[in-house]
Amino acid sequence: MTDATSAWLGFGAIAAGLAAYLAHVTRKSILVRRRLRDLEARP
Amino acid sequence: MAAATAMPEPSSPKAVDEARGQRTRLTVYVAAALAVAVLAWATWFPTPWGPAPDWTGSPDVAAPMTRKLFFWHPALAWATFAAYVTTFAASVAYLNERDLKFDAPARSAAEVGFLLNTLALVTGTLWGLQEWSRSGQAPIATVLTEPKVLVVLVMWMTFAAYLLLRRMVDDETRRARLGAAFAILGVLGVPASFLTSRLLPKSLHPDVVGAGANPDAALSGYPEALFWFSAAAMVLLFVALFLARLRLARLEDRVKDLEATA
Repeated sequence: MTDATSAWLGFGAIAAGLAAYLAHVTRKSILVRRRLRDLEARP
Repeated sequence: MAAATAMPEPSSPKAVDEARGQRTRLTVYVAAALAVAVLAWATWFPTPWGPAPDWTGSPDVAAPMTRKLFFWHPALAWATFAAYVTTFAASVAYLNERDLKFDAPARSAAEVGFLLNTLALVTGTLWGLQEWSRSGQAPIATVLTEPKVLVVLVMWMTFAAYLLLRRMVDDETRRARLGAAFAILGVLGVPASFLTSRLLPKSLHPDVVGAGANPDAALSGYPEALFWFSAAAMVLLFVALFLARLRLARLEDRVKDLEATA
C-alpha cells in the first residue's frame, strides 16, 4: 500500500465514521421523537 | 417582524431548564464542528499561525502523508479514553445508587467511545503498516504483535461485548448491572494502553507527551500547538456526540415508559 493510499484510507475512515454515526443518531432521533409525539397525543 | 420571529419565552421552570440545555448543546455542537474543521484545514493547509506540517523529504519519515494522522490518531485515542472514563464513572454511580438515570450516560458514552476507539484503531493500523517494521517480519505481523495494539484491541472487544450485551438482555435492571460490570472491566484498558508503550521496551509505539516520552519524537512550536489543539478538538467532539446521544437515550427511555403504561 502506498503512502497516499494509506493517508486517503485513514482520513476517509475518520470522515465516513463520524458522518455515518451522526446520520444514525439523527435518523434515530427523528423516529423516536415521532413515536413520542404519537404516544403523547394518545388519549 | 422581530416580534413575529422571536422565540417564545419559556413559561415553567422545566421549560426554562430545557431551553438552557438546548442552548448549551447547540454551543457545544457548533464549537466542536468548528474546531474539527479548523484542525482538518490546519493539517493540510497553512493557517495564520503557521504552515501545514510537512514531513516530505525527512529522512526519518517513511510515509509523510500518512504521518499527518499524527494530529488525529492520538487525539481520537484521548477522546476514547475520555468516553470510557465517563462510562466508568456513570457505571460506578449506577452500581452505588442503583438508579437507572445513570444508565443513559453510561451507554451513551460507551457507544461514542466505541466509535472513536474504532477510528483510533483503524488510523493507527494504517500508520503502523507504513512506518513500523521489525526485521524479518511482514508489516501486518509487526502491527498485530505490537503490545499497545493488542491491549487496545482487547479494550475494543470488551466494549463491543458491552454494546452487544445491552441488545441481548431484556430486563433493564439486569442490563444496566451487567453493562456496568463490563464497563468497569473495559476501562482497565485505558491505563493499560497508556502504560504499555511506556513500560515495555519491545513496544514500537512512540510516546510524544508526558513522562516516558521519546526524546526523538518530541514536538515544539506550531506542530506542538496543533497537537494540543487536536486533542482539545477531539475531546470537544466527544462531548458534542455524547450530549446528542444522551438526549436520544433519554427520549428512548421516555418512549419505553409511555409504552409500558399504555
